[in-house]
Amino acid sequence: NALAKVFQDSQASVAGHKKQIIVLKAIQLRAQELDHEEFFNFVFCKLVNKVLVIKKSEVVGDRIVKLVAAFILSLQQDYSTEEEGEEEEEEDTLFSRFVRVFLIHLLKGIESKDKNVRYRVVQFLDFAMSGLGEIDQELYETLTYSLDRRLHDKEQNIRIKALHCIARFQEEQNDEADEDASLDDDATSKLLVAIQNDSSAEVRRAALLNLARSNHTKHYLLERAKDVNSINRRLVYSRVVKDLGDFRTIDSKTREKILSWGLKDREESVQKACVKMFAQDWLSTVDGDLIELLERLHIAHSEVAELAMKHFFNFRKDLIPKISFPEDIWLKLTPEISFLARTFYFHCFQNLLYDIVDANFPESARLAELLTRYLVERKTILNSEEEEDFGFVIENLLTIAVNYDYSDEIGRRAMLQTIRSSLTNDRLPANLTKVALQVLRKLSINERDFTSMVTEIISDIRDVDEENENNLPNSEEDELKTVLICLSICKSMLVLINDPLKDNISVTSLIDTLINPAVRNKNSDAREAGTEALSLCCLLDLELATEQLYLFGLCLSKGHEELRIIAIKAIFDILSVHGTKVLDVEDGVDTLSFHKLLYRTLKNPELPALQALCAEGLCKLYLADVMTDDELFETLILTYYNPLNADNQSLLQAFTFCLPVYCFSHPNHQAKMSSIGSDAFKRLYNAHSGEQEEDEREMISPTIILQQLIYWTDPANVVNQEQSEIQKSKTHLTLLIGLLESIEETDDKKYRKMIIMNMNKFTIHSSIGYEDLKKLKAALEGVEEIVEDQDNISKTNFTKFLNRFEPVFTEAQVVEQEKSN
Amino acid sequence: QQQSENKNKKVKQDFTIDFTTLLDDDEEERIFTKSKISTMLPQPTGNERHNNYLLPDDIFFSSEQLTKLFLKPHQKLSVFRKFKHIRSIDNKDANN
Repeated sequence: NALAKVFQDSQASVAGHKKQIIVLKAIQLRAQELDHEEFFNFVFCKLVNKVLVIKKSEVVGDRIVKLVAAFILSLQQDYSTEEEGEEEEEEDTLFSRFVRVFLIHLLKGIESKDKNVRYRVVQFLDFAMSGLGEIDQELYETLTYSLDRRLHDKEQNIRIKALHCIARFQEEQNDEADEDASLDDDATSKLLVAIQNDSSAEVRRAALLNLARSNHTKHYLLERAKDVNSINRRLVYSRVVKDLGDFRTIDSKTREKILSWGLKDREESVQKACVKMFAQDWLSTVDGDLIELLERLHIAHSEVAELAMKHFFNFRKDLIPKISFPEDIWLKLTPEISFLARTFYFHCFQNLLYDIVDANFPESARLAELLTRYLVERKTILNSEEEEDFGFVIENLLTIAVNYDYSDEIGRRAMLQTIRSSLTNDRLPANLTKVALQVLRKLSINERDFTSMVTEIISDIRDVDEENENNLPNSEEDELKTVLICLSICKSMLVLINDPLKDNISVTSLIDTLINPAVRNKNSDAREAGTEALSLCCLLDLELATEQLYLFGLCLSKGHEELRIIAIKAIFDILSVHGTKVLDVEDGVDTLSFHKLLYRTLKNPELPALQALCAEGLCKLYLADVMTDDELFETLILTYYNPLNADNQSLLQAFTFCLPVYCFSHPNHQAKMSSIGSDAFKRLYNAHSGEQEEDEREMISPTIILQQLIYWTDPANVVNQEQSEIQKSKTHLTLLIGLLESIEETDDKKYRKMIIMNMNKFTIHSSIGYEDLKKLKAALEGVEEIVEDQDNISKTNFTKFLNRFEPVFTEAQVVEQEKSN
Repeated sequence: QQQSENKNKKVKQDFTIDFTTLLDDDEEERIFTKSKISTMLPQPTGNERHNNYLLPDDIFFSSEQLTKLFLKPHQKLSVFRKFKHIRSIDNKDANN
């Protein structure tokens, strides 16, 4: 009874637990003295029983669990200090006997049919384990076996508790020992299974937080940066990476990945956590040395470094005044310093911090001078690694120069001179050419000035080349190199201009002398560059585009993959700019063969990249109403759901994004979807049911497809629509009539049922008008007999729809009669 | 039983366990009864394709991308001016 009183008093709050534990121990000792030890244990368990049935949400239960845990912990401490002198001698103590009885008692309930009991049992075990040192082997084995089963309990809360408890069995691992003994203990490997395979985000989270941090588990932990649950993703950035210690111990590829995932995460909280990890935790790991941090990013090859720095400066505004570029540093730029300068410049430029720019960055004339220095030095370098470094420094300087202030005429001229001479003489690689042209465009007075300068540069390059030829016979290889350099410059120029070609002789002459010959070049690099340059010209001139469309079509159907990719981009860009005016002209491409070509490209899963581009381009053209063909549009839908394309993420994500955007952007778009919807669904259904057993799970289930179609054609989802417009929309009506008609054409009861079961998701309003509603009525009457053959639930659902439809129809009828009166 | 449960909800704060009476053996047996139906999740058969609950690689498709040319990415298309509201669909859809 004294024992019961302790329990009774302990449930209200944990505050008095210390005292209660003293009382408990006293009772236990007295029981032993009076030879009532067994009775004590018996009553104790009986009392615990009372807690086992308590629902998880009741805190009183939790308090008792804590009391018991504290009791065990306290005993553990007492006995372990006592034991010290005697060494493992005394295995059988009052304490160990108690624990044994208690645990065995709990285990009786671990498979209970009552989920509360299972939950409480595992909770007791978890807490008890926190206080326990060692238990005997046999009991340990039963315990782990039972807990392992609870790791697969139906209830996620029980799984979480079991996981906590198992986590306690993980052996402390130190990383050095880990190297050779990469064998995990049992407990860890169980958690590794859970972190990857448990369907509940919370269970995976529990595993994420409780897994031992070691070299071996690192990969599993960091992988959660892409967990489908955003809290789990965030925890990787806010907790797990920190727990793993020095970020430099994570290999650089993995670092790049987790940075990139985090900074681009669609969930803002994840992004923030990632920025904080980078700009705060990592920076302090390298003692605030920004240059070292940049070295760790491997900036020259990193895709994410620029984005990371952008966030960095925004997050660490406190550091902005502390960053400075003294004059002499410009003479010994390293890749890291130049990259820092460039990203810092960009930040200041964006945030209008002109004082900081003036204080840290050289005048334009000086910048030109510096650039020349590095450009000259680059040419003296033979070893490729250094060349790469120099190229990177130059690229950064050029990028800074694009947005520089050239109001000082001397500076402007100096920069112009530097850029022109470098483009003419240095045979810059493509990445540098591109930026150099951007600087040149900035320096030129207008587009015409820009194009004539570039044309001059190109002809100078060719002249120099020819002069050489006169002395020494030039090899074909050198000639090709020259052509490629010129094409690279030409392309970079064309991207930057927008004026019509018509009166621009400098560009038209390039088409004849450089571009057209390149298109017919034997070398595939030259052909690709030529084709791309030509298509850029086509964007500036309708006539040229119409003329050359056939050529691009030819490249798309016959070329090698790279050329096809350029060709399809060209085709879509041309249509985007000029519309269908380029089609059906004499001696040109007709619409039908154009559609066929795209149809073939879209259907061909052998070149997934091309297929994805084709999907994206078509979506673009449909969205812009450049294309309106129904058949091709239906092909888009069929392609989206075709299991052959299930692995083509670019394709799928383009569709996932574009199809709803298309439907919801204009009522006409939605009408198109509803007019092809039923036919597309029928075909997809047949394709699905015709599939082999093993493929079946590859395809999205028809139910989901149907629901998507209903969602896409729901007029309430179209943007900027008045309520009255929404009510008049026939999109759901059209789709439903189509589907009902398709019911009549098939004997498949499952198909029929699927349609009938989804009928009530359609919205049909009387404003649609009597005439159109009559068509639906007819369609409904047409299937009535068929519905009679279906199961009861279908019948009920059908009647439900009829009951909904009847008043709508009557209302429309009344309105119609009033009108005619 | 039903009544007491309802009462618990109302005065949750005051819910206490009555430790003065103990469950008898029958009751203990009852709470420890194993379930006839499995309390475990069905185990995956093994050949199921699972992606370990990870997101697919995000190619960051955006409305931005749809209004640009492929070969001249900084040129926006005039025909898309009327689709200023695409972004709003974009957001709406993300919430769905």
